[in-house]
Amino acid sequence: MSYGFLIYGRLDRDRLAAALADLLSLPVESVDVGAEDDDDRNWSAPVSCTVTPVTGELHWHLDIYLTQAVHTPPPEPVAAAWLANSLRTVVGYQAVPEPPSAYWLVGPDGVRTRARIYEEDADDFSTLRIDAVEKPLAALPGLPISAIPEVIRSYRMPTPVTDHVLARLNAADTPTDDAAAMAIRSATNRLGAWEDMVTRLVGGWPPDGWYPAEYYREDLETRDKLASTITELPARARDEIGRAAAEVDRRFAEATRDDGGQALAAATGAGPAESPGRPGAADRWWWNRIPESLPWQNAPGPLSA
Amino acid sequence: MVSSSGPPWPTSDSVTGSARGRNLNPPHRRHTINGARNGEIKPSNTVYLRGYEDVATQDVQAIAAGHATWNERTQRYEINGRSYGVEPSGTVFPSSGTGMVRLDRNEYAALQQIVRAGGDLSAAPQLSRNPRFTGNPEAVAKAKAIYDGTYQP
Repeated sequence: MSYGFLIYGRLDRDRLAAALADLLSLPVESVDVGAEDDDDRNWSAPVSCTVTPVTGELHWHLDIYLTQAVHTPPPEPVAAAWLANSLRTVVGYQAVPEPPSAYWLVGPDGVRTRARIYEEDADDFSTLRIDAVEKPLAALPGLPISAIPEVIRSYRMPTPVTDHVLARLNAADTPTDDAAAMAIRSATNRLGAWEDMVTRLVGGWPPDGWYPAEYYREDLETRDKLASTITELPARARDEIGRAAAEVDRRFAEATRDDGGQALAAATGAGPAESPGRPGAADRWWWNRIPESLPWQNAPGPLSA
Repeated sequence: MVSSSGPPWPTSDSVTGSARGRNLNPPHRRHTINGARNGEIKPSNTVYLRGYEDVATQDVQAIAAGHATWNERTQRYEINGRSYGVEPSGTVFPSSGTGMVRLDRNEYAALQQIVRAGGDLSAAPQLSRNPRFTGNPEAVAKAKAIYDGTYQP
């Protein structure tokens, strides 16, 4: 198992070794802390922590490897909070693999926030810049506070309805030309995106309990495109995907109320119903529906900080 | 036809998705084999294989020009058999596809050692000492094949 941490400020290697030993319930001799080019590393230690200085707004990268001699190590978030408290500084770690800028930062007081951290190319090295955090950190005041919505969709929702349709279409060996195959692919992608959003809505907007108005609007636009694409499909795919879309629509309708599209329009501008001449606008009832609690009302940022 | 000026490359009005309205920059060099030398070791690391070092620039220009397909489900652009995401800064990051490989922490760390040693394993003493590598020889083998240009996905 491995951990990867970014550390703010000075780093005392002895204190770091003691903190890791405490975290893992090991004697301190079981933890080797050293730099990449150190010759006197104890490679027989169950815990190897390579410290590398980094430039920018964070100052050290810890690359920690645990051998199988370390039993049931705590998950990375727990280890990060432990180190932050033990070293009395801010510790960062990757939140999700993509986007690469998605991190968590945790302070010595245990406060944790999402952070957008860019690794920027310089001449011969990279520099780390904290672009934003969602909540202020007492140990690192002055950071820009704003919502970091781009990470939300990295937490994919289950899409059983779409998966079932894909399996049926694949099993049917649907005979199509390239254009039809592309249309089916577009339709299933859009169905999957729509189902992802509806599942997220029903589930209370994981991972953070909110959803930007712009994303909600984009998802309604995706539903529009799905409606357009379905009409271009071969008969079998049209039936399968049409039924699946109706099932997802039913879940969406059950979880929302009709407000005439006013809440979304107030947040993002007029929807298609207010755009005269847009084909099929009257049939796109989903633009008029919104959950009882606005998805974006709990958005993090300066107002909620 | 793509723009020859830049980066950054401004996106055309026809672009939908996360790149819309942004000026696009190519991926960070940590996604190249040579760039792994100093790259931060992350839980998942996408790297271009040998022979594909130059495709990123072409792909990003194509995304900016509106030639890529936006996949609403994956939230990625698809172009030339590869998929890309876009950071709010406009920096594009490779996700998966032809000529790319994903490396876990051990594999990327091994690649880093091999790059620093110029491909000579005997000049990378950590590979034979560090338990991360001695305990995961398959990670070293994969990284060496990637460095040598012999890796087969």
